[in-house]
Amino acid sequence: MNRLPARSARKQFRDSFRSHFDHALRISLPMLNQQLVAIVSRTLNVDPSTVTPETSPENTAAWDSIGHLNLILELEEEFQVRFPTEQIPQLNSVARLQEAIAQQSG
Amino acid sequence: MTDLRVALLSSSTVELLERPLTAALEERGFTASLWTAGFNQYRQEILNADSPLYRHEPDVVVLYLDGEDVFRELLQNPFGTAAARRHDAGSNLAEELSELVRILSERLPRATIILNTPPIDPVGAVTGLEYNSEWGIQEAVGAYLSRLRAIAAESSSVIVVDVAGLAASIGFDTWRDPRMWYLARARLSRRAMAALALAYASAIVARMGRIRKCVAVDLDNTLWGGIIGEDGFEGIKLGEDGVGRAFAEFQEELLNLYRKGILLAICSKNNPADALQVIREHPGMRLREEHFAAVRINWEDKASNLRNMAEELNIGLDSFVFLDDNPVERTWVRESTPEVLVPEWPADPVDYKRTLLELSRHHLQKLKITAEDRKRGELYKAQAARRKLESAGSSIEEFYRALEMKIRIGRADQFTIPRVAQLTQKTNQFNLTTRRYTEAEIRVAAEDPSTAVFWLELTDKFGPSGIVGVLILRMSGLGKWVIDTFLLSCRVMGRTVENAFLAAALREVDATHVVGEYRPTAKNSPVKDLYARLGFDAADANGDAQVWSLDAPATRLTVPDWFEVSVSESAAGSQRAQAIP
Repeated sequence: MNRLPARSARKQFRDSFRSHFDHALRISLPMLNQQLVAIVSRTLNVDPSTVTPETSPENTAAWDSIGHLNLILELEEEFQVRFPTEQIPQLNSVARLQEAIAQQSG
Repeated sequence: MTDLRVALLSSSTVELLERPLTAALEERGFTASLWTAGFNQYRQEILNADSPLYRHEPDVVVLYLDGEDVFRELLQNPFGTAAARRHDAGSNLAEELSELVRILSERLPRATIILNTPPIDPVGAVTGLEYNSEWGIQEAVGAYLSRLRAIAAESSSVIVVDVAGLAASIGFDTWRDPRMWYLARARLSRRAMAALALAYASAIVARMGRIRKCVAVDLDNTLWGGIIGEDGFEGIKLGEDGVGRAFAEFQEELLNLYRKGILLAICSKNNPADALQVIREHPGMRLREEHFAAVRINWEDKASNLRNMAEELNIGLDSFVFLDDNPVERTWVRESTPEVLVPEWPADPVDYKRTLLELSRHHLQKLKITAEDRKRGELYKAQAARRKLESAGSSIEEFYRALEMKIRIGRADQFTIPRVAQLTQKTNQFNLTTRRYTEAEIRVAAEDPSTAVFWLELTDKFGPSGIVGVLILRMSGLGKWVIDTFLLSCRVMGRTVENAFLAAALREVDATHVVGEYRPTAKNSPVKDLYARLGFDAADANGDAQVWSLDAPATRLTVPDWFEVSVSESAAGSQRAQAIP
């Protein structure tokens, strides 16, 4: 597996995210970070092309409570972030995950 | 890849361990089929004979008990248990575990059961009080651990993984992720789970006998500091002071591997006279010539030398680990002989010892030391002497006679079962069926009156080789036997031991008809034609396997007259006593 070093991943994420928010209109569904998509796909065994901002436990079989924690721990490792306990259960869609990572990385 | 059925049970939620454990096992050649019990369900699962645990039919049961669950009462309120009762509290907890293990191994006699030392946060309410007052908790922990040790000693099915030690090596702050406890009743951090999965996989690899067998080392800047050809005998760094001590201590750890039955070898580009002078005479050397089963000090390329030594020692290249400080050599060996494990090597010699220990933990781990392990290095040295004799003799028969071989056969009993199981697990070449058995499985077979588990011990003029052969016969009718397993250690191949072994064992069971099977693997082609050579008739093929049979083996199979054969009566006697309740 070809993994980027965490710090540069974080920076890359931040940059890509900022570019959307700083320069474009504040659209509700920003372009998905490809690294996030890759982790969601890998952790929940879904095809990356099917991952959308609305991907969530409701429409993804492997996204159960354990799948959720697996996903959270993978994302934390990859982006070098740490979500507070109470926030973790609320991160129940790819869009919310992306937003939370961006907040932490910023 | 080998299929492995694993059951995971725990005092906490342990589903999160599934992914890293599956991945770690896959890396080590196992396709795991995992079943995981729910939070703190291990008692019910074990006690209920119809539980999903037993329906899963696991080969391995991992029972992970966390220190904070096992000692919960004591940790929550250390002042609620009278000081005088702490020792008993620890023993009682382990006693309950012992009972669960007894039930587990009764219902799953073939399974390996993996227990653990329970990790406990070193920072707690009794910090300060622990060793200065009567309120410590370590006394209870100590009582638990000593009973745990006894559980493992009593049953060959049980192995203990030192998870408390693993947590300490990672650091307890990193080991725990308290968020997991409040969200899911899980205890461990992501890093802890990755490390735990690796530890379990390594223990399973060790249990299955799939560890590496030989460590080949470079010399200059690996066994000693500096280059002998340039710095000279006086100039190399090796001994008591400075960085020379790091090399000496690294050698001491290699020596410990030798004592555990791992072979050592030298693979160095050097002038042999210079290098051998250091090995023989340097006062700082901890390793001497006698510790090396094979030595290649020359200017050939190292991959060829390794191939060469694999042939000499009669072990596979995939049994080798190669240590070299030079990244160019490492890359060359990695690319030319990918079967050899070539770890990255630290630049600073003070890190050599720890790197070796880390490597050993995963690839050279031993759970037991057999008598054969203790003298393996010497056995391989004797082997070299035999080879010399072979090339000196004029005919092969003369060579056999000159060896003055004596064999002793017997039935597997409590003393020989570990070695018998070990041989089934690690023998690849002279192995007709390559059926791998655990100690528990061999015990079941040895106690079964319709099965005969024979071992063979060989001694010759160069000394004893220990137990080097296993033959498992299953009765299929009166006087009719099927050869379930027939194997010889590669050390004694090519000496007609197989003829003697089979003839003597079949005589012991009064066989009138015997059926043998050759199940081809990537490594056992040397015995492809064994049964034909022994005079068996070809019967039907059974899938991949070729089946052979022989009538009246007593008259058609004889012990070659260069062997002296004896039968171990004590073992046979105790076997019979066990078979008749």
